[in-house]
Amino acid sequence: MPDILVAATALWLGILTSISPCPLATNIAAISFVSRRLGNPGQVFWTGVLYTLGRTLSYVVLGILLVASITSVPLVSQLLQKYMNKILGPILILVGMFLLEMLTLSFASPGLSEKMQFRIATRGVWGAGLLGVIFALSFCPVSAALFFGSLLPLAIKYESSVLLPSLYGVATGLPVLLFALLVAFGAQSLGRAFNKLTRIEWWARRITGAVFVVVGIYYSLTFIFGILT
Amino acid sequence: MKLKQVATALLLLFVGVSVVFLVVKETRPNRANTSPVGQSAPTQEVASIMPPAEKSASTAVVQGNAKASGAVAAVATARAKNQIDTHSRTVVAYYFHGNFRCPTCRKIEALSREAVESGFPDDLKAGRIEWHVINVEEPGNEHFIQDYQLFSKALVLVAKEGSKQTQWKNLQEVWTLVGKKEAFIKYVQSEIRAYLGEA
Repeated sequence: MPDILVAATALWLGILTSISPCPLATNIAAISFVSRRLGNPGQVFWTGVLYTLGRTLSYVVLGILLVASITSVPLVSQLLQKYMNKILGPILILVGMFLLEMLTLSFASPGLSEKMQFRIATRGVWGAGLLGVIFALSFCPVSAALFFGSLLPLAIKYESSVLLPSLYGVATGLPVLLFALLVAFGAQSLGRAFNKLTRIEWWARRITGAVFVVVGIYYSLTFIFGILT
Repeated sequence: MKLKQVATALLLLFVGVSVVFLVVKETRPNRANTSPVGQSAPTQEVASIMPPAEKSASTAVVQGNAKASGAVAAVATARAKNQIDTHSRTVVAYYFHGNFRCPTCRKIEALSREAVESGFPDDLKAGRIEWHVINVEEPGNEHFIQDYQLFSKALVLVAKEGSKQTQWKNLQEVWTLVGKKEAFIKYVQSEIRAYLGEA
């Protein structure tokens, strides 16, 4: 297979993963998180880029580890599917509660140095990277089949433990980034038209928090309590 | 403000209960491992399409917490009583799933079943093809993960000569063809035909 076709296959597998219905809940949470600072499309863009890089990092690390020791693929895949989805529910609820300001960190008090205030302001951007890492590792059946069953054999065959998983990772994050930018630009024009951008941003942050809580409850009910399976 | 405090308390309670439930569930000893040999609970859902005599033999072994090789042996024994040619080639189509059933996975199961039933009604009746649905997360079924290198839900074909398993294949393309019903069914049926030696 020509190199360009192999690369295109890796990209296509990533897009297939991101648009399949099974990771829909986490994609909604990701789009909501990435696009929540509607007033600043630049920040939406960089948050999306970091989210995508976070996903890519997970797949590259897995690619390097698994290409080196192919025998453990079923074990790693089953363990990630079994446990990551279980711990994701409580994590998403807690993150949602922080976004809704139901919980606050004790050090976020008045009188912080400018440097600390800047760090807290940018934490959301870096948090997107962490979110990407966690969401990528929370394999659902479709993403597990496409990554472990299609992408990984390709990476082994072409001895590409970094490039092909990277292309796959970028492709899994791209639709989220594009959709988040569309939402941000759409809401911004709407907000400008009605001169209510600040108000829309206020709602966007709260909707993001609520989406995280709802998706977290869905994950807990499905993967911990087994109610929605 | 009071509503926010109540909501916060309820969500924290939900998170706490979830974590405790998860820890208890994961650390609780597996019943299958503590039961005396031969007295363990039913271990797998076997939605099989098999001749009645074979089905009872197979299910009995499966409920006894047997591994695939044991089940294969029992099916072969039952077949020996019913058929003259005990060394004919048979194909077992397994659909493996876990506790979580995603919409795509259910569609793959339904299409696979349709492919088997519509393409090989006579072979199913004669016992040359068997269809099994197995939950690999149920106690006693974990070995299938290693046996067939399962990384997700999967449709696996196993060819047998008599009681001996000769080859197996994970039909990975089902994941990319799941949106194209005709191509999906054609793919599964052609793989089964190849395993039956008809291709």
